[in-house]
Amino acid sequence: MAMAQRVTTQCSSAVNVSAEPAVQALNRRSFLKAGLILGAGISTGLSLGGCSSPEGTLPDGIQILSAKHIPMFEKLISVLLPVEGSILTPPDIVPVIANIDAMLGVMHASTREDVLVLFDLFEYSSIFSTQLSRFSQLDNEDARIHIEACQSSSLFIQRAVVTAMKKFIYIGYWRDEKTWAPIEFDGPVSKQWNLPSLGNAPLPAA
Amino acid sequence: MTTVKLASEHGLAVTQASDIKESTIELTADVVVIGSGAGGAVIAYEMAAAGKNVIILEAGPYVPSTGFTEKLPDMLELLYEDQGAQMNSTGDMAILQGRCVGGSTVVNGAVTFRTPDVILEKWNTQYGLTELTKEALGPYFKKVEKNLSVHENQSHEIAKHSQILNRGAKALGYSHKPLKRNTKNCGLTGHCLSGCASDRKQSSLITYLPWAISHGAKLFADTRAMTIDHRDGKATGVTAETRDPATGEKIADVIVHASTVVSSAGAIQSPLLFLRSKLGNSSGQVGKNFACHPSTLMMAEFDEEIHSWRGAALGSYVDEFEHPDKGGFILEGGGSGPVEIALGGEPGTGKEYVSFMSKAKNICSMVTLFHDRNVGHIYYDGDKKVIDYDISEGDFPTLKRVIQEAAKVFLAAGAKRVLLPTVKKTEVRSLEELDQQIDLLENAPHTFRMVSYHPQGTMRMGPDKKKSVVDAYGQSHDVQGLYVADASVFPTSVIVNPQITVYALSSYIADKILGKAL
Repeated sequence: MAMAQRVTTQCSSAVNVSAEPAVQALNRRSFLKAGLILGAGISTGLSLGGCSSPEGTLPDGIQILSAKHIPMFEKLISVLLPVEGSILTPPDIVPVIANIDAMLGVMHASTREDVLVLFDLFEYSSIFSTQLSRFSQLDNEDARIHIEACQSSSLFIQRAVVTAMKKFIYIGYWRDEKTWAPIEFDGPVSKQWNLPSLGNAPLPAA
Repeated sequence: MTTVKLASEHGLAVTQASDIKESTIELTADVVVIGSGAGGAVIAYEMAAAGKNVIILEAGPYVPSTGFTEKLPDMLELLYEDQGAQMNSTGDMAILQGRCVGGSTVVNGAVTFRTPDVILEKWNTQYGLTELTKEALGPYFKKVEKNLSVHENQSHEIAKHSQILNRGAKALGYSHKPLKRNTKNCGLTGHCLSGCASDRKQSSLITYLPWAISHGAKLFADTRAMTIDHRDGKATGVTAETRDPATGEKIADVIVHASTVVSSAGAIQSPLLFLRSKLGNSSGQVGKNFACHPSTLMMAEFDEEIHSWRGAALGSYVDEFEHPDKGGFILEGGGSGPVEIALGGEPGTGKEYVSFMSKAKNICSMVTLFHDRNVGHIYYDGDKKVIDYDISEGDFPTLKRVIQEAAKVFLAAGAKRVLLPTVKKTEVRSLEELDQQIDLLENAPHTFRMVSYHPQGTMRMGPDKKKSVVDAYGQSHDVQGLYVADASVFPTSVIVNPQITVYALSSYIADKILGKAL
């Protein structure tokens, strides 16, 4: 609990100092653009601070994500889906990151650009709360605390970004059929049940 | 008398991007219809059945039911606008619309309601639609309901999630009823939102569109109307583009000459089409007055097994609060699969989430809808569409009440805990906790988990040229021969699922175009 208070307080105060005027000036409509601005600001801060981390290895078949995204998603999967000891399917046998990459692949280009900015924004969102550490570099407990702090943040952009990240992970996981049997989800059933198509309805009587 | 037979028992004769070899296609018709959902399909059928030469332009792809995989994420990407990621500009409300041949009728939950009397009275007294009475629309409701096999859910169509809703409502003394749906011998797969793979849901895809085609209508998929063409105050046709749905590459310009143009592209795309065309907006009302029935997916954990994904997706509803004087909202017992359960509420992070999802078969879900105000605005920012809509301060007390009553129903039914639809974790286990948490809710961006299935408004119907976009018969006040027939013409939101209102109103507009009346 003490850790949670520390992280929350530092997260809020640091962002208040650096970004709140900008956020208050934001029109709600352009929060993703705001993300871009904040992301750029944080990136500048990073370069000044000299903070960096090794990039991940890009798995085969990934077309949209870049190597820098991989450690962030691996950390998110580790924190959001700690299934050890549960009935749920281990995420290491589910192509969560590949599924997210595929989701990006079908998005409109402009939406995809916004989302990629959002990923960067999230990766750097923990900079102010944990001694200049990217999200991917946090230990799992600090990462969990950071996520919950953002989700309860008074700044809507933090709530927005972390909610979006959770959605990507959860959809990337649950869309894979290997995750269904443990919770008794039946998945597609029409073929299994041999439900015949009724075809087109007959023309209405005149 | 000519006997018309169904052109095909399965599938549709559709011209798709892959069928087109020319770079420009020029066509002539009596009527060109933009969109193939509830509005466009009815217009196309009624016009074609009356002997008119009809062309239907649908921006989305043609996906026959054999292509419905019953995997919701895949189908969101294939059948929905913006691959299921269409959002309000704040980014905290998904606005789901079908974008395929058949439109939203392909992907809806098949729930049907007639327009509530109180809404028609409001349209009559406050918006001047004096001819659009319950009596005038009655024959149209009757006709489309018959054509779409609308029936009240039978006991086998009330799945466990709806039995629980009934149990909670009964304990509280709340009025509740089976929903009506447009299905025929429902397969009870629970996959309505992914399209009905066995053609039990009587969507436009298997009703009005094949009927229109049997009467000679021509349907172009992958073909987006870019502008409505006009001269001297009269509609002259549509300029469209056919694009490869896989790559987005432009295949052909499609030019349709027609003296009657009907926009049935829906409450978001119809105003955007008018704005692109720079016409029909002397009132300044095009794109304004957007409403959308903000909806939440309430979830609760029970000791008993529910398997919320099994059975008819929507079974029964609480109508206790339907009248605006009593709240203006309804609660629908609605199923959900793991993706919806995973996203509908916030059970916590990490182990808490894993524990919650491990009990997914014990999670019950409920869909809420309310009669929101027309405070939104659809417009372009450059070439990017903007859906400017947030919960208004006037509607916020209603939203809180909706959440409160839905949670009360779950608790009365024996829920161990109810997740409120908030971004942060908010769960309640008693009425006392519920009241406390409701009091703490604030109307701020990214506070609630909301989705809209029912975009409405934006091309308001009415007799006053200064306050409405189309007249009481759906015709543009500014351009003769240009009509709108979709949910955009609603002067207000309708409280309930709107598809039958669209079907019936479009049937009414079709008769007005043809100069006849039922």
